[in-house]
Amino acid sequence: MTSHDPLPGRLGKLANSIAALVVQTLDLPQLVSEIDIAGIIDQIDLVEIMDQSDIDAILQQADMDAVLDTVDVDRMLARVDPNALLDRVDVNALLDRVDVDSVLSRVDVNDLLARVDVERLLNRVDVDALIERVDIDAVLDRVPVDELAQRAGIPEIVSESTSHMAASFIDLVRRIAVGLDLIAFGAVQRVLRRQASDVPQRPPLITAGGHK
Amino acid sequence: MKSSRQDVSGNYAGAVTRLLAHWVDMAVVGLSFVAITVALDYVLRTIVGVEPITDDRGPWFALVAATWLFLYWWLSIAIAGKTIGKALLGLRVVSRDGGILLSARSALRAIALPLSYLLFGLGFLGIVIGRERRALHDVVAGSAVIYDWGPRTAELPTPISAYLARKTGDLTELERD
Repeated sequence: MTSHDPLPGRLGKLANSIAALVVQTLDLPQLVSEIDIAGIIDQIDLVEIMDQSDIDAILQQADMDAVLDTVDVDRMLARVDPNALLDRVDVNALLDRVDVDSVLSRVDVNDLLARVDVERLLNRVDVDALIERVDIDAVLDRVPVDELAQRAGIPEIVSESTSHMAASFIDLVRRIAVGLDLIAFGAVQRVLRRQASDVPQRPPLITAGGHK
Repeated sequence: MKSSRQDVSGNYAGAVTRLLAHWVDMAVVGLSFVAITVALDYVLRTIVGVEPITDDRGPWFALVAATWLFLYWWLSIAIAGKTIGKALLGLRVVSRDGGILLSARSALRAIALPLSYLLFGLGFLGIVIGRERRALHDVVAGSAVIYDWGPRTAELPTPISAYLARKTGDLTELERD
């Protein structure tokens, strides 16, 4: 017989009666409230208990899915301070472990660019500030100005312009000289009392406009 | 839009234009002759080692200069129908009827050119008073000089064109823009 086995016979009945009477008499809530639970817990060596427990075996027996189903993840995440968490993360160390080439090889750049709103991006660019940072002299030093001018046909344009200006000037001189010719010849015709119809304008084989 | 200037292409060239062209030609001939003699002098002295006779301005020198003048007038007109001065002023030498001047006639014109200078330049009087505005050397060679500005139209200045238009009443040809 163990200490938990009920007593036999009348003695057992008496004991049960006494126990029932005691339970009825006791004010259990009052009794519980008087217990120093914190003091009891302080006396418990949780570490020792944990050491004696086979946590792995317990976890293996636990239905983790059921446990996770009962967890309110949103609520849990709401209690997490992301900044504090990120402050504890060594980003450099994290990045060192990342195979960037592998990541980039999985990126569809065309698709990425198609999703970029270029107009919006450009609106956010301070072009003046950008240009101020550019060393124009250094850029121009790298520009093959001569080759550029050749490809743009600038020498031909300059040559044509110069030729056109020279031709215009020569034509002006010629026009003045022709005008003076006409004035002088007209004066001579008056002195000689010749009619204009008596004087041929040009050789017979040459028609008006100088065509033969 | 029609030009407001009267077209004179192919017309007989007048005295002013021909005089200017002649001055240009004289300058070209003179300068080129000096350049050639200087170059020749340099070659003779430094390369050949001959001392040229520089003080002599006698008949040989005149003959060389005259030859140079002849070659210039003959070859330029025989080949192109114009000298440098004539090209600059927009003139062309043609035969009297307007055809191409043959090489022999070009040579004859170049030879006869000095004759126009005789008697105080009386030979040039024909350019001023002649109906076909031909000088003595033109008469000798059977040539005439006309306006020819190449691909561009030989034109009178606008005011003179307008004056002629009013005078002749040919407003359709000289309609102003």
